[in-house]
Amino acid sequence: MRGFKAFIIKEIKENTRNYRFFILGIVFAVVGLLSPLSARFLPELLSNMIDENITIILSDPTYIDSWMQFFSNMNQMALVAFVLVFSSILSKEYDKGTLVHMVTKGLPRLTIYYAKFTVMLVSWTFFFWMSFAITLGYTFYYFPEGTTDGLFLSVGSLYLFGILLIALLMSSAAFFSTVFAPLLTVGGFLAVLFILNLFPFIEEWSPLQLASRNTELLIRTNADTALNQSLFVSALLILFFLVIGSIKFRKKALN
Amino acid sequence: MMQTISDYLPILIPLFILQLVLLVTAIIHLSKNDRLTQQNKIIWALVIVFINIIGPIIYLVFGRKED
Repeated sequence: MRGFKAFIIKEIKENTRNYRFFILGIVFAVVGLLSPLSARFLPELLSNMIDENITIILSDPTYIDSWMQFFSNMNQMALVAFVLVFSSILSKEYDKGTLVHMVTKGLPRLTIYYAKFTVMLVSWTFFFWMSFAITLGYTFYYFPEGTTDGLFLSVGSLYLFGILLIALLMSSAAFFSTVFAPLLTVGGFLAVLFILNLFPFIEEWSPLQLASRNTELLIRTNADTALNQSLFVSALLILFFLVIGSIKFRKKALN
Repeated sequence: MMQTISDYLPILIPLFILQLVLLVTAIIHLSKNDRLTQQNKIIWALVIVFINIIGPIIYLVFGRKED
């Protein structure tokens, strides 16, 4: 346990000096600010740009538009930035051979593995909910009529999807030694999920629902069987990725 | 038009400050970075200043060269 704590402190120091926390803080804050802004601003921008001879009917933006922007920004910017920034979490250590000293001094390998995962998990939790809080505050400010029904379910499922990708990133970092292999693994995993979504039977069970059905969930405000199945599969996959990653990491050559 | 702009100020000001913090951090780091040649520094400075948000981030992630 002492080793675990010490390693976590070392990780936090390293990530602060590497500007990782700084970058993520800015990106997630920008996503939080940008979502209500663009929901509010886009219709006006469109109506200014369109020629007067053309009429299109634009409905007034509501709080749902704000959250829609939040979900798409979160998927397309913040989650990508997070995976990119943390893709070198283990490869840098292999590269420099810095883990060798700690392992030979008696720090268990599993401690290293789970401490690294914990740091990623905690920073994802912190930045995600920070971004959420910013969007929530501004959404209430600009769209006072909005409610929070169903918000926790739709935002929480996106949060769980992030954890799934982090677990996959960690376990692929244990399998491969280069910087780009974990990135490709996560990208490939997403591509496979999108392809499998073509089959209705698999779609019902696919974890991809957690990231793609958020707006729908916000309106429905309760989970259906498909979502429950997808939550179940995601939880299983997170455990599976973590376990095979740690099994592999125990036997991994460290330099 | 003025009315709409002041409507957005509570959100635009923090956004602007975040951009500024990012830009200044990247520029300060670049000016102290002695692992880059003079030419590379000029190119990075242009990238940092002219590409909003993404420019400084790209520098801090890829251009820093381990310190």
